[in-house]
Amino acid sequence: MEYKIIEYNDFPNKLKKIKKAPQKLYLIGNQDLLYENSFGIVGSRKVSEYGIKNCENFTKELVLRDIPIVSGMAIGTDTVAHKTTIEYGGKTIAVLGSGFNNIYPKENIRLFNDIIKTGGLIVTEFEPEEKPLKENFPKRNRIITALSEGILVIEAAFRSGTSITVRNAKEQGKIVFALPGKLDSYLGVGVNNMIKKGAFLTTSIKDILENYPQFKNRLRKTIKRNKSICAEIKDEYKKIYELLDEGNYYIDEIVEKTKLDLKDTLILLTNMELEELIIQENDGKYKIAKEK
Amino acid sequence: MISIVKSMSLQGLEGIIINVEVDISAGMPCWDIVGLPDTNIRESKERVRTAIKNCGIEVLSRKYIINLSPASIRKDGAILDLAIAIGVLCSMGIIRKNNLEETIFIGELSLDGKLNKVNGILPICIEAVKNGIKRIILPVENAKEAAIVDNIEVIGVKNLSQVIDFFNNKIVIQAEKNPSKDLNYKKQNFELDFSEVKGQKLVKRALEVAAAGGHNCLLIGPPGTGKTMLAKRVPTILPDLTFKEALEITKIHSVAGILNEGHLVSERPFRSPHHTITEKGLIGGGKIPKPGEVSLAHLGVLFLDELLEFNKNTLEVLRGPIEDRMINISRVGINVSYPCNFMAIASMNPCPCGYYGSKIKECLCTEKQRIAYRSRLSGPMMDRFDIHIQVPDINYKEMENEYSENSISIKERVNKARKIQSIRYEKLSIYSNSELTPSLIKKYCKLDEGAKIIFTNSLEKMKISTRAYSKILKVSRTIADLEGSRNIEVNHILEALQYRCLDKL
Repeated sequence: MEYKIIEYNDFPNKLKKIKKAPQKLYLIGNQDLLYENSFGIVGSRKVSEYGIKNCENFTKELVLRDIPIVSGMAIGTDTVAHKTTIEYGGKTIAVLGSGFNNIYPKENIRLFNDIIKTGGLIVTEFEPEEKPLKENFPKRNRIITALSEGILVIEAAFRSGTSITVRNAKEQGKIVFALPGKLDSYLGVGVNNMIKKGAFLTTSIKDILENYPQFKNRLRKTIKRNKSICAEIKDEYKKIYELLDEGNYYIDEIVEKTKLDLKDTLILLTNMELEELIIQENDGKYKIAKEK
Repeated sequence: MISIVKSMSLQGLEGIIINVEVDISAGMPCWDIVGLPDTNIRESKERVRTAIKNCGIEVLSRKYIINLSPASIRKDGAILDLAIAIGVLCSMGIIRKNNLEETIFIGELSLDGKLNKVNGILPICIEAVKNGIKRIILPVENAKEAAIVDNIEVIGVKNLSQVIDFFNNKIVIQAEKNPSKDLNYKKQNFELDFSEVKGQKLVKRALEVAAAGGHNCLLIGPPGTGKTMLAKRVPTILPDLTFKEALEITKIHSVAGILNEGHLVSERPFRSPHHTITEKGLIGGGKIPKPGEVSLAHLGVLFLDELLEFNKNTLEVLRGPIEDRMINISRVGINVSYPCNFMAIASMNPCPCGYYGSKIKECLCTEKQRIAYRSRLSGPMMDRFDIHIQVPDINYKEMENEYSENSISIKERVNKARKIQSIRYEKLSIYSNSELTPSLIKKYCKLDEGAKIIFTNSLEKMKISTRAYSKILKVSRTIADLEGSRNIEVNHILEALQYRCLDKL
């Protein structure tokens, strides 16, 4: 695997000034991203549907304003953040807790390649042969926060690893934004505690943007695909397409809501799937296909 | 004096005439049974001797040699008791040996001479007729079941002394009359009906297609969405049994001893073994192999609830029988085959916690866990299912009063589709689309050029594996049959593609 090494002197300022700054960094991908104003999205490896949904939403809003997303390429929240960024055509930085010859977790190797392919960047302070040791992950968290203007915490259980990231962020003087956690879920406990201790309660993208003059006036790109496709969509698909634009539905729900015949619906759905207008998710729901 | 009496031993569903030869001679007093008897036959000498004594006949101290021929076949079960007793009585001169040539004796004796009910009477009678037997003497409780078979005189007796009197012309026993061959004597009144399941239209449609083509079907969904409820109602939409089929099912159930009062089985069986079942329980086994759940589900439904909870090895032994529709069990000195042409319906959860996609409870399983969970089902096993369908968790409260179709009208369509198939496959040894082999698929599932292009296109785009290719064609064939269409059209393929959800994952 081909990688670049950059020394301390070439670091962006935001990285130089942190405590215990690394002496060199290993990079694969688009080095320029290091010097851009980016935003971090972090959270626990376990993530609920509520977490996934909101993580996707906030990521999307940031990406549409051309803000690179920083995260840790772990499973759960990190993966959702990276994937959503790529989906909406954004650039993303992944900070690893292991060397390039030991990509961890293994199931994210595809994501690793996708990040590079889409103009993103992979960063690690560890030697290529370094194993994904337990103690490496808290260390890489300080780089995530250093590269970010601020971080958004999606979900975190009590005493989660995310709290280390939050501590780093505070030490580095970054604002910590936190999504309100569900009261009846253990994944809400940690994040609600953070809010109690002064993290910024975040309910919409405005809450984040208003704190950063450099982000505030960025224009939101419109998603291209809706306009172009909606215009040329066939009449027979319209009913289903419009319904799916509101949300994701099971086949039975589609039949119920559009009052179409079941057999016709099945045929239409397959046709639409073949034309790549919609896709079926793993849980069986249909949704509108994102731009490729 | 030597005497020979006939009885029968079952090897699977195949009957073998056993000649019970009894010789009483002077010598050291003893009872000896030779000719590869199993333990329970060896013990029958005590039952027979005591039963004869308790009929008021003195058993003299002589040398009794009983030979069961052919001697090379292992014999099992107490059903030879009666034949041994009659043989002894003949040799003693108590029963006159007239016209025993074309009669077989079946029955287990009690010490007081009473005859006990035995299993497997129906196949015994069928096999007896094949072997030229004209009359069967059996326990009165079995008479009804035996009378289903034509061309054999069925004499039901209560105890040993009745048999003696009968043969000595002291009493007359009327032969049991043939029961009506009408399978609807018990008007098909299912307690279950599809109309009881609200909503889930997609799954119902998939099950209708499955029933129409005999396709194996896998239901995936969170708990409480009605997977079991739906599967239990599948027999209510399966096509009506023919007399020949009913006889086949009854034969197996008779051997297994689960027959209801000797009636012909008039409904398709629905077997749902618990997931703790062993391999032998599933495919059949034992020293003299008995039919397992796969054979008991013959011509009916085998429902495997919580498919992934089954022992992995247990599931894998199903591979053969699902393909061959026949199970061959070999044991020392015996080789038995039972038919097992069933429709498999299985259910499973989408993830370890079960609630992926559910609205009741949030699922926190990771993608890795979900994939690991699904991969417990091996590829070859997954291949055996033509249809997989997700059973979503949908709130049906508002649909309480919605009309849902009842089983009878679904069944009508299924019957029609099956009729088309049986006409098409008249000259072949198959009954339904699910049994089509690759060469037959080429012959009967032809696509026109337009459909072919769309089909290959869709396989590529939906990333559907090539091994799903033939499954989709078979299911399309069934959908076409349901619509009474001669050819497979594009729409049939497009619908069939919706029934392959696991291929997309």
